[in-house]
Amino acid sequence: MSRDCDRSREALLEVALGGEPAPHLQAHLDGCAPCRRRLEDDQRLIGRIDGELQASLELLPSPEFLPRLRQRLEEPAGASRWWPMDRLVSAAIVVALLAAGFLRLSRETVAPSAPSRAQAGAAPSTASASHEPITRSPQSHRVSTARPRSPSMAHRDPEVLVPPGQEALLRQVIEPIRRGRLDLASFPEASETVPQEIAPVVVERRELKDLGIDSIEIKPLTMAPNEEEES
Amino acid sequence: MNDLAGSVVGRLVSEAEALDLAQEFEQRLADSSALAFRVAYSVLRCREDAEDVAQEALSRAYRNLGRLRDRERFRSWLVRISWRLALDHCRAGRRRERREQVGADRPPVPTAEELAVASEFRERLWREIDALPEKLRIVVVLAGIEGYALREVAAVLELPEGTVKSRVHLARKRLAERLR
Repeated sequence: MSRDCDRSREALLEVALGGEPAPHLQAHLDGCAPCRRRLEDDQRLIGRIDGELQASLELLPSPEFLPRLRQRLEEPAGASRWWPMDRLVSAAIVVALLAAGFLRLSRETVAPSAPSRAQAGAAPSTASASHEPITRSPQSHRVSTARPRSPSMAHRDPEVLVPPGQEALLRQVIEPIRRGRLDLASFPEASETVPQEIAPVVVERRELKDLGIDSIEIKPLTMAPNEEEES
Repeated sequence: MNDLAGSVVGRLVSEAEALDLAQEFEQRLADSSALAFRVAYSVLRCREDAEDVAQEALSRAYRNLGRLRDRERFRSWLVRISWRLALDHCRAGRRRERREQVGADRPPVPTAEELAVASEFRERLWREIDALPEKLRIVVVLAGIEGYALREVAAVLELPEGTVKSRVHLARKRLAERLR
């Protein structure tokens, strides 16, 4: 086998696939019996591939195919034979979402929430204090006014500062609101005046001293002529 | 009164449209069912699985026929649905382990030796077809289905005829190189 035979191997396949041989390849083929046989083998192989492929796909569906299909098309759209897979996938997604939500809820339930701190009468945390410019009394108490619908909402509860001693009174007003009904008549204390201790204002006595000014002379304002031109 | 008349007319129109769609689909069914089945079979090579996939593909095509604006594209649309469903069926591992003999539906060859050789060649051929990249695979399969009428394949795949021609050429060349 010559070097030309090795080189022509690729080109022979192209010819077998229906290409025209180049002049130098044709010249080689004319004088090389093994390459001619190889070309014939390649052509036979290509024909066999095409034939087998066509023959394999000349199939027709079974006679029951169309009646079965027509029966299926008459069924409602939801009654697809493949529905169990779709539903299983949907159910799996729902379960995963529920599990994720449950995990999140359980984590937040374990963490301390704002209302629980308020009930314990704890001092305001430094983190939340840094967000509010108001200077607070260390005795001020935080009272959550929002209804604790879910633990995930707890960290967003608004907080108000109440004077010492008024926390219990405010809670009496807030609790009915939380429960969804507010009847002021049932809370007479809410309309009562809460006594406040007002510290007396102490003003130190000041001595007024004379500045030593006898009299003030008032003169009319006049302008020089050159100053008028410049202006 | 006008509302009632309008709703009745609307219902009649929609029923008439549904009837038209059903008739149109019925006309296409004879030709299209074989196409869907063959496309599915080329991927699955199991009659029962191919029929199941073709049924599903045709069922989806029927239910969504109203959404297909260009009805001339029905065949290409159906081929794509069948091809995708068959690949999904394969990937989901629902294909039966027991594959049919590829030549079971062909007339038997004269001798047992020839039958064995032919069967072995077919198995090798399909193994190599399965190993082709998808764009070459679908082109060569459709070329086989359509009897190598490249214009038909190009129309079904909505590709330029030149592209289909070069892909068929490349696919056959690769198959020949591996089956030499």
